[in-house]
Amino acid sequence: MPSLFLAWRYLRARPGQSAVMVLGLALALYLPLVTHRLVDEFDRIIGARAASTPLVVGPKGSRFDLALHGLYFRARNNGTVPYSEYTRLVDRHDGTMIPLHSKFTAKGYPVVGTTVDYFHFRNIGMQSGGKTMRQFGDCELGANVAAELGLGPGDTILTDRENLFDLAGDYPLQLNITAVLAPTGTADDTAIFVELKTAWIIEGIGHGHDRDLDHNGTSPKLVKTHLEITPENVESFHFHGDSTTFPLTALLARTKDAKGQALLLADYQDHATVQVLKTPQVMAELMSMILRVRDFLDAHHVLVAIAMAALVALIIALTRRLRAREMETLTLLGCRQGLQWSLQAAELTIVLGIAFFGARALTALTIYGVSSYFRTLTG
Amino acid sequence: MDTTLQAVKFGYGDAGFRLRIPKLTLAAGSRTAFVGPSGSGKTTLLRLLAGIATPQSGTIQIGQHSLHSLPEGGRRAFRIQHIGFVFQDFRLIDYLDVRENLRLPYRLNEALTLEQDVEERLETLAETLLLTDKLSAAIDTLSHGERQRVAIGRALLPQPGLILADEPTGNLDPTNKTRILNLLFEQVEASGATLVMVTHDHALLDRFEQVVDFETFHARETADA
Repeated sequence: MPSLFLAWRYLRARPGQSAVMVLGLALALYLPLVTHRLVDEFDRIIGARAASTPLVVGPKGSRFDLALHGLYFRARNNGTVPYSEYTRLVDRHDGTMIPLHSKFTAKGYPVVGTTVDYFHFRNIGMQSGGKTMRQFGDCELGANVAAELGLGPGDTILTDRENLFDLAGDYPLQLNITAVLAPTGTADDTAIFVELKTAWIIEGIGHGHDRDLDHNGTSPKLVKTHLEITPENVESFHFHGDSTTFPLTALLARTKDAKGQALLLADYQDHATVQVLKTPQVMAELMSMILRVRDFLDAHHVLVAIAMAALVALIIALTRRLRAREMETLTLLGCRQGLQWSLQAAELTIVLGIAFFGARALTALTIYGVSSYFRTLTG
Repeated sequence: MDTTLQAVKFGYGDAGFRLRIPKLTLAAGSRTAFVGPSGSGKTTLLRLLAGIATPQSGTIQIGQHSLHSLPEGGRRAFRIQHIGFVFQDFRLIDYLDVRENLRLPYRLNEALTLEQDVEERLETLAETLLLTDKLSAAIDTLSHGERQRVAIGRALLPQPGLILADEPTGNLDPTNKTRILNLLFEQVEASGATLVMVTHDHALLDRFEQVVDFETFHARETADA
């Protein structure tokens, strides 16, 4: 194949020119490729998370916010449901019910109040050297949180203050790290887990203070609230009010069977303040919006492709003019009719081939780089 | 391999240019010079001899073959196997090194096979043309004299019976000109090929056995007309 041989030598002898052609075509190919792959990857990842969490129960309002909160601990200001909803679910329905309370953060990572059932529900193990949470103020770090902050069992982490200017508001609580969770490649890697009651303490519903001080604001002395829970002061921590009214930001539910799911859905069908979401359905709706955006981008990519094709055609036309003498020489030396065309076709094929593989490689790198972000949906 | 042109007529459409050659014979192994002013048809005649251009009438007989009665593919195959070109501006392929430029006719044509004996001949030819240490060099690193030697080597390597040289020393200084011509004549003589050279240099004409003056052709045409 003289055309392939000559084409390769021609491109190799002009590395700068060839690199510009390859780069231009690679970018033109990369954009649609990466868009499709990113959307597909996003679809796959959020679909898997949604499938493992069939139902999310929470306050009425934005369905997307509630689903994202239940699955990824995002959108933390959607409102709450009382703890009684959890006991009601457990009493009336068979399956696994997990309460969640996630309103606060520590070093920017969501602090998720829940029960140990959550770890069974998500099938999350613990890295070696850790111990399960045993008292108020204990926490377990997601694998990424531990790696990024360089923390481990025995260390502490302070929750973030919600409002710096609210002197009467919630104060940060120092959490004692008892364990680091095994990596899962999901949003659980970027969360900090505490007992539900610890979450309520962070919110200010429960607190601890010295025993000799009065309570309920009647004391003439200043109440000294503990900002750290230690074995010495843990006994002083207590809650006020009716625990059935304590807030939950969401409930995760996995019924035993389809019938159980139908009954649970029916249970909340006309509820005034609580809604139940079928998460796969909500996430599919979210995806359909993204797919609409992708269609729009596809139209743009077609325009880019047309512009690129026109540019390549122009380059070929100009190159033919520039190389007319070379082509004539090849003819004089006896090359067959059409070799000039096949030579340029070979050059284009090589450039396109390299550009295509470059675009594929760049796409793979992009997917690799962003897939962890997709899994956690944090940041 | 004698070459004979008989009553050849050629013209470029309505451009007004016309070439008429009543009869011309190039004896096998002879050296013929084409002289004449620019635009008188010297290069056109080389193209006719190479089978690239087709005469409107007349015949060009090379050895046993009537060139223009061959189909296009056959004419091309004939050209590859029997005709070598040397140009004034060398016409080397700048993205190939010297060795690949010498091999080029073999790369382009399935009629020629790049076998061991060709490679050996290439080495010998490179040695004769003082190119042995330049075989891997890029074309743009060569001097004009070296480039013309490469062009001569490329024309000679397939061992053609007819070598068409279009002002091969036109771009060279006097020293290089003499050296290149000597090399070309030596190689042509050694191979027994017929040489046809277009030149404007009348000082060279005594080195040719036959000189064809294109002004005479035209004068005759005018007289005949």
